[in-house]
Parts: sequence; structure tokens; C-alpha cells
Amino acid sequence: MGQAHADARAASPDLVTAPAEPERDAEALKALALWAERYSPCVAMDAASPGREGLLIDMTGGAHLFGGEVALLTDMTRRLAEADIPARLAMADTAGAAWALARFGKQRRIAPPGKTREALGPLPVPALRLAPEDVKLLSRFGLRTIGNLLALPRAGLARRFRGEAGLTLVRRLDQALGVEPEILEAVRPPPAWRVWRNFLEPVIDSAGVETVLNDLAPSLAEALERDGQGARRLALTGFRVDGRATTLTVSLSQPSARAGHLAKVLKERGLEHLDLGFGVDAMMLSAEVAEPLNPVQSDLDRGLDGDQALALAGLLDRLGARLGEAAVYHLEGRQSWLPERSQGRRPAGEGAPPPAREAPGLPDRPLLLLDPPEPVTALAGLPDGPPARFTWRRVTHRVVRAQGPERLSAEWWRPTRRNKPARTRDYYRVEDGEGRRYWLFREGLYGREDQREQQDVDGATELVSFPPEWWMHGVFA
Amino acid sequence: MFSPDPVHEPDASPLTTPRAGRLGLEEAWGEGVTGRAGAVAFALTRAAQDDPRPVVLAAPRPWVREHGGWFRDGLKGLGLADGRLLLVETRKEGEILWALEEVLKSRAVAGAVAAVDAVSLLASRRLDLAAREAAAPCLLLRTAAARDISAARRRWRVRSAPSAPHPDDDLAPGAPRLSLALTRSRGEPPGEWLVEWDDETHRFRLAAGLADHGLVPQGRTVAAA
Repeated sequence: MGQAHADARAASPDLVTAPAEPERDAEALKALALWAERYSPCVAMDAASPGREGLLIDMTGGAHLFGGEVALLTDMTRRLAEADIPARLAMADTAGAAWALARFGKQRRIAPPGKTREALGPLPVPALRLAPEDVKLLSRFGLRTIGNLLALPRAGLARRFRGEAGLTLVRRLDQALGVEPEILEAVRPPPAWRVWRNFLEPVIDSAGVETVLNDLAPSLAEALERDGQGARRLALTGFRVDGRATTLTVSLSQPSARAGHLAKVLKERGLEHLDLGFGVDAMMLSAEVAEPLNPVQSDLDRGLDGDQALALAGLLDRLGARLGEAAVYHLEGRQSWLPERSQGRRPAGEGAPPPAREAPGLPDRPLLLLDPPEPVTALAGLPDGPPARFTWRRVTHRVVRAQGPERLSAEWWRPTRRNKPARTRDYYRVEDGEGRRYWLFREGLYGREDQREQQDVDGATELVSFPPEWWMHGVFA
Repeated sequence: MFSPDPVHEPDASPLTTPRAGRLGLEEAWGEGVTGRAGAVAFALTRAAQDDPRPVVLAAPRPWVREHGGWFRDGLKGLGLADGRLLLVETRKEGEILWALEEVLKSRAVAGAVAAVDAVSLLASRRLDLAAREAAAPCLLLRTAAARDISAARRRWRVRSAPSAPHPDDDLAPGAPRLSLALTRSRGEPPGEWLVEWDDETHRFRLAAGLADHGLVPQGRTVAAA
């Protein structure tokens, strides 16, 4: 470790080397961490020392679910070996002690409850998660095992080192012994409501997943309902035999604790999206986000009775799961007087903001808006009058009636495309001989906005002609 | 009760919201982009009458690219506030049919209007059945000159028509008018109507004065006074 490549080659000429890939290592570690959630919802990654990455799993009160601690470690060892993942496992009262035992322990890697001190005694000092220079310093004092350190008076220990090192040493000791608590930062925040099943034979297809899901959903629904909660975001996780996890998540428009609905929404999302690999041998269904069950009325529900509102929420979930959450939406107003900026989309089912104050007596507006507007060649009787005829999408229309202009000034504070200055728009509602009604606008005012500055190749600025342009912006019913 | 305009409305006319025995799938061909906008306006306002549930308006992305997106201010002009209207935009046309069936089966909507072209006979039968069971009008907006057989109960042709005279300005377009033709229907005669947008009631009514000109084949005139 820490040796120069040339030195290493000199010592052992057959050395096989590979460049370090810390990013891929981190990715692999994260994948493994998600897989390890099959044992506990709280799994933390330990990537502090490169080359010595590991996982810390909080099994507090959970080992009995797997038949005790010995059975748990045996099960883990077997599954990891099957997935070709080399690993050393240990279990202790504290994360620090388990870390030490996993890396430096000789035979018995399970420290019985309350026997941490005894288990750590024979281990070398680096097992305390110390920096290499501190380890070197300790060995100079002749302190080689944790037992040596524990034999010394605690107060003196910190004082032997200058600066931070002493404090770190004492803190690491305390953490290993459980005097100072160590909080594990879970790779994913553990869900409060989760249910899972292990199977003897791996599930290898969507049909099998569906069976498991139908089995899990009622248990989760029951757990949620007991707490008066409903799921807003669901995750179905499959733990693969090759040491990876695969997850399918879906959002719900209303909190739900109905088993049938939870299962249906996930199925609609598509169970085939789960990448089962060579099979999964455990599955977990969890409510990642939950909210109180008493329904909150959205603007969509107004005037609906309970059954109708419930049916609507169910519909939104099924549509959103299959089509994507952005596919089902409402329009809402935005602060702009330019038509194309005056509206936005809000996913259906999300709470509506208080309705904005709208101008009463809306002027006539088209039903369909072309965004961006399409260029039109138009011929006007008067330069600043309505068009007499225009050509749009290769069809020429003769205007028989027209109303306008309705003037919308440019929003000069917004940046424009291709550095063109923003110009005033004059909108006209026009009708052709067949009764087809369109919304056209002329961009730019004659005499005021028909010239612009342009820099030529030498950097000199000159005024060039920039005549007003006609655009098609909408179609009336 | 006094109303300034006599309301010309043959009862149980195909123009009104379908009820009871007349329920089921309908389809409409709009002529050009304006005709299709007209068909949307006709179908949406008809579905939204007297029902608090939302109305679904669905279109695949290619349709939206060609015709333009739904404009909120225009929809409000039809009397449809933001919350009343549930918009669905899918990547592919095939997803529209699936979404429509879910929408109808849920019984959570007052009606549905969807832009879709490729509809098999089987798919249209399923939609027809779902629409009748849900008691919600469902209208397919079609563009291609489809010669396919479909199970739709009514087939409309919608065309823009020169608007009504503007009350104050001779040069400006007045109330929008549509020419509606029922080209195929089960158990009722085909017909042609000229309808005019009524800003007060937020619906199309028969264009005043034209009912007597033979354009309403089986119409009866009801004068409310």
C-alpha cells in the first residue's frame, strides 16, 4: 500500500497492475448497499479509506428475523459468495468494533453483546480507523494493540499527542466501545413502512413478482392504515442473487392504504421494468413517502362526492404510472402577458396554488396556440393595418373580416433568442372567406422598431433595416 | 321568464349532450385545423354540461405539434376553468386508446374528447361499451380520411362557417359559427346544422334565423317567453 509502481515492480517483477477506478468502486459499493437493505433498512457506506471500502448495517433488534446472529452472518456469507463478491463479515455492539473485527479479527468475528472490550483487545491499533501517521506514532511508543491502549489511563492518552490526533484517538476508542454514539448515515433514508418476503427459490419473471406483490400489498396497507397513513410514494425492491438491488417507484396522487390500489398502481407502472437479472430471492414493498389518510380536497375534487373523488384519485394514479407523471396535467396561469408565457402545466393531483387574480372580461382568445409562432407572409392594405391576405402552411387566405390591433408590448427585461431585440406585437383576429378564424400578429412597429444595430466584421456598429414580421399564433374554434 | 332570443332547440336533438339511449362513442372529422378546433369546442362544451366532474381532453404529442397546444385563455372562453379540465398528452397514439378506456371505466369524469386516428373496430367497440357503461360522452377527433369501419354511433363533420355579424363593427368577426353535419348515425336521420357560440350559456346554439331556412331537417322551434 502506498508504494510507488517502480518500487513494487522491482520487488516483484510479475506484478499485475490495474488503474484504480474510484468512481466505479463507489458505484459498485452503492449497488451493494441497496442490496443489503434486504437485511436492514439502515445501511451506510464506508468509503473513507480507498481500497478498504465497506458497508455498515444497523441490525439492532433485527437478527432474530434471520434465525440469530450466527445464522445471519452465515446467510450473508453464502449469498455474497454466490454472487462472487469477496467479503469479510463481523458483528458487534458498535459500528467501530464491527469495523475492526471485519478487517482485523482472526476467527470469532461475532463479539457477544457487552464483550466488546475483550474482543477488541488483541486487535492491532490500525483497527481503530486511525490515520497512518498516528499509527506510526503509536508504534513508536510501543503501543501495538488496542489492549495496550485500553490499559493506559484515558486522560493521559489524549495528552501524549499534539493537536487533533489525541482527540481523534480517544474518540475512535470511545466509538468502538460504544461510549460515544456513532450515527450511521443510511444510503437511503429508511422508510417507516415496509414489508418484505424472502423466498427459497429465486423469482425470475414478472409473473412471479406479481404474485409476491399481491402478497405484500395487504401487509403494507394494514401497517399504513394502523398508523392512519396512506402511501404517496411506493417502492418495490427486488434483491437479486448477484448482490444487486432493483427498484420500481411510483407516486400516488392521494395518500392510499388500499391494498388493491397499491398493487394496481405498481402493476400499471410496469413490473417488467424491474431488472431481475438471474432472479431475486427477497422483495420489499415500502412506502417511501406517506401522508395522513384524511383526504385533502384539491380544486379538482370540488363539488364531487367522496366516491367520485376517490375514483378520480385512482384514475390519476393509473394514468400517471403508465404514461409518466407529467402526461396528465392541468393548465395554470403564469405572470406574463405574452400568450406563450402566460400558462404552465401542473401535474394533476398536486395541490393547486390559490387562484391568481384574473382580469375579468377576457378578450377573445384562440383554443389552440402555436408555440413557437409560425412565420406567415402577409400583405396588408395599410402598413400598420390588418392583413388583407396571408399565406400560412402554403395555403393563401383572403381576409374578409378582421379585428384589431390588440397591442402587447415586449417584455424587454427578458433575454430574447439570437440577440434580436424584443419587439411590440400587434394581434389581429382575422376571418377568411370560408369562415376560418386565426390569430395573427405583426412583430415590430413601423418607424420605431424597424431598424436595429448590427456589428460588422470590423466591430463597427451600423443600423440595418429590420422590417416588421407576421406570425401565426393561434387557431380559433 | 323572458329571454331576448327565442331559443331554437329541437328536443332530443343530436346537438345536445347525449343521454340515456343515445349514449356511446362518437367521432368527428374537422376540416382543417380550424374545423378541428371547432370540433373540440363543440365536444368539450357538450360533455361539460350539468356535471361537476372533470372533462378529459387527450391528444398524442404529434397531434399537438401539428395543431398547437391547448390555450388556457381560449379554454376559459369556453367556460372551462383550469380545474374542470384534465389534459392528457401521450407520446404515442396507441396510449391514447388505453388512457381513454381507463378514463371511462373509472366513472370519475363527465366526458372525454381525444385526438386519435388509428382505431380498430375492436378498440372502438370497447370504447363504445365503456362510454355507455360510464354514461359519459366520448368523442374521437379524427384527421385522416378514415375509411375504416368503427363502432361509433354518430359520425360528425365539423367545418368553420362565416361568423355572425358583429353587433358594433361590420368589419370584425362576430360570434363564431360552425357547420355541423351528422353524416352517420344509428337510429336517427342524418342532418346538417349551423350553430353559433353563445357567450352567455357557454354552449353552441342553433344560429338564430336559420332554423326556418330548411337547414334543420327534423327541427321544432321552441320559443321561450
